[in-house]
Amino acid sequence: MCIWWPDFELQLERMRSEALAERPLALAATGNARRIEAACATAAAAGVAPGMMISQAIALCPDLVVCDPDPEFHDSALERLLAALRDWSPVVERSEVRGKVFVGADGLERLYGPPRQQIAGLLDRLARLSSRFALHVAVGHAPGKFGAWVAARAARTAANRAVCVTDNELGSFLTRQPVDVLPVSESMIRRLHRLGIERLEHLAQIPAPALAAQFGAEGPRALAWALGEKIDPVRAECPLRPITVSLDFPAPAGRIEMLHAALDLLIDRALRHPRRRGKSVRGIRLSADLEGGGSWSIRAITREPSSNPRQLGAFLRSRIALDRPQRAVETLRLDLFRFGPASEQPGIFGARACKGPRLFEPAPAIASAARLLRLRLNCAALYQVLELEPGSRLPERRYALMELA
Amino acid sequence: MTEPGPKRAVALPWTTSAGPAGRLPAAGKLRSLNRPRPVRVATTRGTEVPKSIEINDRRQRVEDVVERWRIDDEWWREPVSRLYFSLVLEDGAYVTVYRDLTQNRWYLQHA
Repeated sequence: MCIWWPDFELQLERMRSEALAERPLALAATGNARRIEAACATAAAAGVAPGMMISQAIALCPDLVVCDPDPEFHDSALERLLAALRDWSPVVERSEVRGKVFVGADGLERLYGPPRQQIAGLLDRLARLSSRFALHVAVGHAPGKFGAWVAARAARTAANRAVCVTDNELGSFLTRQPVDVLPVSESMIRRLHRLGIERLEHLAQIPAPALAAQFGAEGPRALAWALGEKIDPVRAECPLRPITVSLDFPAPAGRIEMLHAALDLLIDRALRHPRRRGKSVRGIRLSADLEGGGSWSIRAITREPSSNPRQLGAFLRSRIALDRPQRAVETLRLDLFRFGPASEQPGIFGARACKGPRLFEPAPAIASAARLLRLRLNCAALYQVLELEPGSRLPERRYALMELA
Repeated sequence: MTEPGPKRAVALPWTTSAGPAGRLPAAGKLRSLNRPRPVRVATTRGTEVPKSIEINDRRQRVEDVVERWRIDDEWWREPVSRLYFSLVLEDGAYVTVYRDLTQNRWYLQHA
């Protein structure tokens, strides 16, 4: 089953502010280039399209309201929806698109009845969470993720916003769909249109060798999708249990040097977390609460697993350079969410070569004393002085105290 | 015309009472050093120059104003406007105070 909320972020923004309910709305993309990421139907009718410069979009639609990206807010809303879906089925898989989720419904007939009844029950459950989301959701029930997604796409315009396709109907249902639904490259879709192949039934008439000759390996794969021969099951996600560390700034940090210094601290603290148990790090998410509301985040997978703070720091700095926070940062947060094999092997110049350059690492006896004092007093007892903005004109911004880990 | 987005994350219907969506409890908090402390200062009539200052419930006369400077910063956020004075007190102590020109209050701070 595919649960799809078209314009997920825009719907959330409308829920956040009633004043946006009737206005043409667009979402700004993350990154330093100010571009449009998504536009509502009204804005799209005025010519606003994803990828367009914001200035160009406003010229086309002067009433357009462009919302800043707020990934933390959007992700947290999605997490709550996923939690509700996991209550319904143990097999829930999110897709690369934020508002699209796959739910495994195999074997749930005894609990929830036939597919149409399952959909009705699920919509009821979603309506209890948020009536607005239940109104805008599109549900597709079909064998496999591709079939379910195509059904959900068709359900967007259906009367009850739900389309149910059985195993026997899948082939005939798919043949009526446009070729744009195929999970293949954009260049292949463009070429199919140029060749006059508009629907999957046209594609299904072409022999596989001819498609392979024209499109390579993608051709026969597209044919298998079109004929409903390829069924991709929904796979349950392993619930993530990331290591999260965060830092609250005494005053919002706008200077990039300050963010870099805080980043080094966070990396050091996260790597020292006992739950890491020597594992290397593959997936990192850096997020921030911004001054005046809103959030910013970057999510990255390292090319090679690493537990070297310098490597991880350099990697994240390069990502920050591509996508800087739009405003000053109040809280910076680091999540290590994917891990690789253990990599405690010391560097060629010894363990010291791998240590972070900035943070004072207390001797074991001091660290142990700090822990004992914290337990005894139930508050932090030992601190270390950190250099924040030593050149600041405001003396209270220059140095700060942080609890000794 | 572009309008800025809503300023604060609001609680969605399904959020818990723990706080706005997307906010996690902060594990680490930095405490800034050398935070300004409020202080009572009497000035010479008609000027902004400190005449006496009350520290630890003890009022002391200002012997000399060594230096004075002004900081105007962060006009784009919450404007900071301070008039600093380096003072020598009657017991020989060397202190720095400033007058917050936006709030019209005096603070003691090591500059």
